[in-house]
Amino acid sequence: MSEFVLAVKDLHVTFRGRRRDVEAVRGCSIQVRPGEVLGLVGESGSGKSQLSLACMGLTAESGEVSGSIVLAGTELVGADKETIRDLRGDKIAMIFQNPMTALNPFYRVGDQLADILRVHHEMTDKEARSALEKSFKEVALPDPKAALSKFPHQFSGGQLQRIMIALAVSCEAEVLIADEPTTALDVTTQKQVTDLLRRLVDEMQLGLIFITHDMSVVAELADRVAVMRQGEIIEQGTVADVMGHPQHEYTQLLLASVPMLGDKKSTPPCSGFLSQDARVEGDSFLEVRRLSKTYPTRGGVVHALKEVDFRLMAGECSALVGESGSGKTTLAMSLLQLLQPSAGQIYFEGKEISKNERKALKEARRNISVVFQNPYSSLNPRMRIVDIVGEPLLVLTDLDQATIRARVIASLESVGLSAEHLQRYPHAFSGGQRQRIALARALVLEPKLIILDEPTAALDVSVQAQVVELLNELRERKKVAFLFITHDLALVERLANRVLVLYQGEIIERGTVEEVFQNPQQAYTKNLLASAPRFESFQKRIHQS
Amino acid sequence: MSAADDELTLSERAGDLIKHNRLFVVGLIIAVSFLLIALTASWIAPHDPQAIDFDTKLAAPSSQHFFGTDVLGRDIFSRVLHGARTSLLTGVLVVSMALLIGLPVGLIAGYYGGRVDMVMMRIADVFLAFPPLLLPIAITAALGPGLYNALMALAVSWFPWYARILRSSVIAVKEELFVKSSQAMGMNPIRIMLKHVLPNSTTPVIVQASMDFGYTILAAASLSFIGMGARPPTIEWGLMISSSRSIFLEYWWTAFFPGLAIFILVWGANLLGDGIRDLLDPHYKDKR
Repeated sequence: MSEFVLAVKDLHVTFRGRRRDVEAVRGCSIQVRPGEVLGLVGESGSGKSQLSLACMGLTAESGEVSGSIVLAGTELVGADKETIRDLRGDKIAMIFQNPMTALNPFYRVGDQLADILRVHHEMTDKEARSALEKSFKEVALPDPKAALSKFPHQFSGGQLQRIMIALAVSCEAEVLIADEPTTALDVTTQKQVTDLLRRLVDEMQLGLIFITHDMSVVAELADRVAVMRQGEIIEQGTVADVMGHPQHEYTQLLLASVPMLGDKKSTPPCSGFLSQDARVEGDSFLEVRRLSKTYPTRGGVVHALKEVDFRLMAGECSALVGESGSGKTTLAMSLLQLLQPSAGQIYFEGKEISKNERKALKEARRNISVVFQNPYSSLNPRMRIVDIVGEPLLVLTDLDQATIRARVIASLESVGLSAEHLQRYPHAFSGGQRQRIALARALVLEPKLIILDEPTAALDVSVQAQVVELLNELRERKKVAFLFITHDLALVERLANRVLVLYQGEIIERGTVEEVFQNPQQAYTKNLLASAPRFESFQKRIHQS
Repeated sequence: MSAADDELTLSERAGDLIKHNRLFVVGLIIAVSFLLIALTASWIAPHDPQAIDFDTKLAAPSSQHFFGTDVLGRDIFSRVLHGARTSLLTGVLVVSMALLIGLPVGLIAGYYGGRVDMVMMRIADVFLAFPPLLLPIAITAALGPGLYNALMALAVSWFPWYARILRSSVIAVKEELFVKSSQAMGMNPIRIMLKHVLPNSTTPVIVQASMDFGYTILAAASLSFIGMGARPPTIEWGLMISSSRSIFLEYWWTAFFPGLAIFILVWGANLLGDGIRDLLDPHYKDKR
C-alpha cells in the first residue's frame, strides 16, 4: 500500500480519428496524498479534463487508455466496468465546472442525492437524508433541512456547487476531482468555495485534484502544482518551486498572464489625452438619464436596472463592474435599443436615441460598436471573414467593393491578423483569433464608442493577456472610447480609467479607478475588492510556502 | 468525444457514410436508378405505354410482356417505367412547394415572435388539426380531382410541419450573438433573416424534407387510388392499382408490379433520407 491515495503513471489517452489519431494525454504521471491539494493547471485543450476523466474511468468509448491509474490500492486501467463503477462515488468523486447543469432540474435536491447514497452505501432513505443534512451543514449551506426539499433552480450557483461538494463529502470519497469548480461563479462566491474545499481537505484528509486555468487560485489553494500543455505535464512540484522559480517558459508565460490587482505591468491607461474632470459638460457624448428596465413577474416587477445615470467622455475608457445578475448586460443591450428600456433617456451627441427617433438611432448605431463575450457565437459560421468584417460597411455605407476590401484588410491588420485570413470561415480560428475578428468588425466603421461585454471571459489566460494588450494599444492609437463590462477587477485596473460599480441594477459607486479601488465607500465594493486575487498576497503565498 | 471527427468536411463524411452505411448505398442506388428510368422511360420501354391491344388483354407475365398486360392490353412493364416520372415529380413538387410556403412562414414567425408568431402558428395549427390524408382529400374535392390539384392540396397540408420545424430552430439561432451584433449595427431585418438566421437554421428542415419525400409519393399514390389524384390518361402507379381493383385477385400482376414499384421507391427514399440526416446532423452518430 503506497502513501498515495491516487497514483497515475505514464498515462496515455488516445482517440482514433479518421485523418489522424488525437493523443489527448501523453504519458502523464501524477500522485495525490491524503490531505493534499494538487493544482492541475493548463489551458483549454491541454488534456487536463481527459486526464481527470480517465481517473474516473469515464473516458469516452472511442478513447483508448493505457498506463496505470492506482486508486486506493486498485488498478483502474483494464479493470472491468463493475469495479470502476463501485469505486466511483465511493472512493472517488468529481465536481464539475457548471453546477447549474449538474443536477436534474425536475427533481428535488434531497431526492436525487439520497438516491446516489442509497445505491452506493446501501443506506435507507432516512439514513441518506440525515447524512446529507449533516454534510450540508458541513459545507455551510443555509438551512440544511429545508434545502433537501428544494429544487435546483431555487439555489444560487455558489450554493449548488456547495451541494455538489456536500454530495462528495457524504459519499466519504477519498479523492475529489474538481474540474474548474469556480470558473462559472462570481468572484465573491469563488473565494467561499475555495476556502470550503481547503477546509474539507484538511479536516477529512481528502486528496483533491483542483483543475483550473487560473494560477492565482492555485497559489491560494494548492500544495503542489502540475502544469499541463498539449497532453504532457511540463512542470510539477510544490507551489513555491513551480511558481517561485518556474523552469519552463510556458509556466513563466502563464504566470505573467494572470490578471491580478496591484500588478501594473502595462502603462497606466488613458494617459494624456483625456480630461480628468468628469464634470466638463462639453465632452460628454453619451449620456444616460434615469434609465430603468423592469420585467413583470407574478409577484410584481423585477428591476433589472434602477434609474441608472451616467455619461461617457470622448476617448475615455470606462468600466462597468458587477457580478452576474447585476444588470450589466441589460444595460449594454438597452444602450443600443436591443432591449426596450422601461423608462429614462439615452442621448448620443446631444440627440435622444429611442425606437421612435429612427434617424438618431441609426446614427448612434453607426458610431457605437459592440464586442460580445463569446467569440464562438458572435461570428456567423456560414460566412467568410471578409464578409463578416465587411458587412457593416456594405450595409451602412455607400462604399464600393474595392474600398470596403481595403478597409477590411486595414482593420484586420490593426488587430494583428492579415489579408491571408480573408477567405476562411470562423471555425478555422481559435477563440483568441475569433475575438480579434470580432474586434476588427467593431473597428471597421471607425466608431466613437466600442462596448465590450466581458470580451476576455471566454478566453484562456495567456490569450486574455494578448487581447488586453491589443485593446490598450487600440485605445491609444485610435482614440476610441470604450465601455468595458466585466466582473474582473484586475482587468479594470489594467484597462480603464473610470469605473462604475453596478449592484442589483443600481450604480452604487463611481469615480476614477484610483479613487474607487483605493478608497471604496460601499460595503459591496469593499467585498468585491477583497475577493479579487492580489499580486502582493500571491507573491507572499509563493514565497512563504 | 472524438476530436478528429469534428474536422471532417461534408464530402469526407459522405465518404464515410457510403463506406459504413450499406442501407444508405441501397437507398442511393434505388433513387438514382429511378431517376434514370424516369428520364429515359421513352427509350427503354419496350412498348408504347398507351397502346391498346385487346388481343393480348390481361396476359400473364412472359418474355413478351415482362409484367403482363392490363385490362386494355397495355404493357404493364412500360407503364411502370413511365409511372416513375409522375411519382418522382410528385415527390419533388410537393416537398418543394411545401418548403416554399413553410420556410417564409417559419422564418418570420420565429424571428419576430409575439403577435406575428401567434397569428401565423394558429393558422398553421388549423392545418395540423386534420388527420393526415383527410385534409388533402377535402381540398382536392373542393378544387376538383386531378394530379396538379392533388399535389397542391398535399403541399398546402404539408407546409405547417416545415414552418414549425424552422420556427423552432430560428428561435434558437436568433439569440446567437452574431444576430445580436447585426441588430446592433442597425441592419435591415430582412437581410438579417436571409443572411444570418436562415442559413444557420435550415438543417432540421432539410432532414425532415428528405424523409418526407417518400411519404409524399405514397400520399399522392393513395389520392390517385381513391380517384382524387391523377386522371387517365396520366400514367400513375396508384391509379394503375386502382383500375385493377376488381380483378387483381385473378390477375395479380395488374396490381402487384405497380405496388412493388411504389414500395421500392418509397423504401429507397426513406433510406436516403436517413442517410442525409446522418450527413447533416453531426450530433447524430450511429454506432459503427
